[in-house]
Amino acid sequence: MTNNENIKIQSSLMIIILLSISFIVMAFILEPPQSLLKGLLDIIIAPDILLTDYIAVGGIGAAFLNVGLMGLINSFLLYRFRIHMHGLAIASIYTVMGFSFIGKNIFNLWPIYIGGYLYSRFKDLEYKSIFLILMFATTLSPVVSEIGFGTYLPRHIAIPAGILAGIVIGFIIVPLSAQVMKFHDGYNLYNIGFAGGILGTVITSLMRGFGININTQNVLSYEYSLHLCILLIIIFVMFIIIGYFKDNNKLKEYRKIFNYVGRTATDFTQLLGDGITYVNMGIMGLICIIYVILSKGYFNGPVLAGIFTVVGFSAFGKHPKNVLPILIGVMLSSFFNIWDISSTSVIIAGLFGTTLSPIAGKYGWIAGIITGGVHLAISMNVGMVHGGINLYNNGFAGGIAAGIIIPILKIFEKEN
Amino acid sequence: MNREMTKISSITKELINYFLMHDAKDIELKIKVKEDKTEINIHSENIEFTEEDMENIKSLLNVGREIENDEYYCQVIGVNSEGEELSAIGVMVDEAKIKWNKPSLDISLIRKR
Repeated sequence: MTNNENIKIQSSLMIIILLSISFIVMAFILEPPQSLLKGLLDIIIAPDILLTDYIAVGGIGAAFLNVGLMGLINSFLLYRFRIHMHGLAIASIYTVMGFSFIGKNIFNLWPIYIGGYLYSRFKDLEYKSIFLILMFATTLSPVVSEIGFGTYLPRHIAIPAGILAGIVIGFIIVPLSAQVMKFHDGYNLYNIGFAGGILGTVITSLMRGFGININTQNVLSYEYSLHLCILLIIIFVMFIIIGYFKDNNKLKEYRKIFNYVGRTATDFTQLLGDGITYVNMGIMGLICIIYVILSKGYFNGPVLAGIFTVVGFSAFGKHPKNVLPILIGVMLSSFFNIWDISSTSVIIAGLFGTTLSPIAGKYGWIAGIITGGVHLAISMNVGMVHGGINLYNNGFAGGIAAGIIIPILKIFEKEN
Repeated sequence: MNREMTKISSITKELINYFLMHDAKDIELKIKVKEDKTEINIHSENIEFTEEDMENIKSLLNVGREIENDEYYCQVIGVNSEGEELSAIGVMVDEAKIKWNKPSLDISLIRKR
């Protein structure tokens, strides 16, 4: 590892650490410590199935505190394992931080990390070689909370059972995610969400068999929309400024980013450099904000989760040219069907629907727009299958959509 | 097949896809599995390859090994038949040498255990 590489790791991690600390400081400004602790406890014992907005559960201060702590914990682990802060690592940590608004917390992530550790020992793999997959695998962390705190079982049985379930998930998620990648040819960026959806369906089915009913819910906040919008604008404008100062000489080459299809393994930090990557992350964040405003939606926990995930994946495959067709497709189709365009569910279907941006990148605008419409329909229906325990519901829906759409599009491909 | 051999298999599949996508008329593949490393060599005497391709492949294959991406990228490469995932190969190998004497192309990769 070169000295330059060391500096690069530190600077990219430092941005995440500063962002995390900012969330914690804001938490203490917004609420007194006692209220924060109570809110954090409420967040930990909430069942967490989709959609559970931590801002509504524990208050905005406690939600910020959870996001900040999750950012710091995972930053420490990334640092501890000496993981390069390239595209995949950036995507994973922003996804984790985003979902710390709606289901991931400082309690329910550990069993999955422990299960992954046991898998790495069992298969004689370096733990760091699967750690980024495990970060995404916390999509199923609501299983830990749901079994631990959401069932009729007594707590002294339920909590260990929830932890054990999380460990089992961590143990099997790596080979499972490899298996399902083939279904969508890598055109669904949130592949772990697809794996999580399948595994979540199995877990929910088994639990329903024992009379434990799991159903999606809608615990949402609406009162801080404007404040959250302003906060996001500040963060993403800062990303653009950071990108400019990181590498202002190369910024004129930003248009090159549009040449990339964006399939899994398109690491912009390596292909185009950190400067362009951060500018792209900032631009994509602002595009997401405009999308929410045009949809007349609210900025709340789930929407923030969607935006942070898009921004993270803007270091790993997403750019305006391959994302906009999906967003337009979701918006257009919601005009013609039964779903309310301004509802949080439809808005996050659009934001997370950009998991299918490689389809637009490869096959163009029309394919992207149609894909967005198909994705919306699927995502609004598959949640009930896994009962909301898979946080990346759109990753699950995206996998199904890509698995159907890609073979059809290939029919129309020219042979030469 | 163990995990290491699965990864070697995925890398070679991706390389073959890449050569076929560049209209290679003949392809020779050689894999040497040693105790501490695996050497992969792929060669074509007649392939459609440009200066731009050369620049692109050089930068993608020489990004340097990143063990943390090993398992994730192993899932990705070789899945699609279009040879677009060279950047994933780049982070899975320790050394890459590319020789291009138009119209022949030779790529040698070393992956340490």
